[in-house]
Amino acid sequence: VNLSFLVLCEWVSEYVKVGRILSNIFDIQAYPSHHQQVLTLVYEKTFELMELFAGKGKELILDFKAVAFGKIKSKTINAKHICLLSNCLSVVSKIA
Amino acid sequence: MLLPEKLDTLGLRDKQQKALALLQSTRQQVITKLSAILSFKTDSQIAEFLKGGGELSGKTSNSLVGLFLQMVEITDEYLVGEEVRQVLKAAFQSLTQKYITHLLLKGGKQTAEVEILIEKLKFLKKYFPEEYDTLLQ
Repeated sequence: VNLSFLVLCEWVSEYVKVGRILSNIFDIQAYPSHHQQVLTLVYEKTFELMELFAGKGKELILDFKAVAFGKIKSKTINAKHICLLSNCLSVVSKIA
Repeated sequence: MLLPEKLDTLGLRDKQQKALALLQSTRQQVITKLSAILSFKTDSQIAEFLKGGGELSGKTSNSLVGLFLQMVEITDEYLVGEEVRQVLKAAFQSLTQKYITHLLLKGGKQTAEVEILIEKLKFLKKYFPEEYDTLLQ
C-alpha cells in the first residue's frame, strides 16, 4: 500500500506537470480547445489512477494478496495494514 | 483539484464522482474489516473466554492478548482518521470493560500481566482520556 500510494502520488504529479507544460505551450486565448483537451486528459487520467489505487489497495489488503506477494513481513494482514490503507484512501479522497 | 464549475465545463464531473464513490466504498469496506478484527472479534472472543470459566490460560486468552498487541501497533499516525478512531474506541471499551476488569478482579499473577498491557496502551490516553482513566481506576 505504501509503495502503491507513492507511485500514485508520483504519477499524479507527473500528469499535473505535463498539463502545466502543455497549457503553457497552447495559448489559452488563441487555442482554447487545445487547452481544454489537455486539462481534460490530465484530470481524466488522474481520476482513473485514483480508481486504480482504490481497487489495488482493496486487493492487496482486504483480499490478502499482499501476503501472497510476500510484500509484508507478517504472515497475515493485521489492523496496522488496514489502518494504513484507510489513511491513504482518506488522503486520496481529499485530493479528488 | 479543479473548481466544480470547471469540472462541469470539461465534462469531468461524472468521472470525479465515480472515482469518489469507489474511494468511499473502499474506505467503508476497510473500516468494516478493521471493526471485524478489533471489535466484533473481540466481543465474541471475550464472550467465549468468560463462558469457559474466565481463566487466563488457553487459546482464547492468547488471542485476546494478540488483539491487545494489534491495538498497540496502531500508533499515533494511524489514529488521524476519525473512522479509525471510532473503531478503536469501541474495541478499547470492550476490552477494558469486559476483559481487564474480569482479570483484575481475579487478582494474583494476572494483575501484573494486565498492568503491563495497560502500560502498553498508554498512547491511547491522548485520544480516549476518559476511558483510559476509568481503566486505571
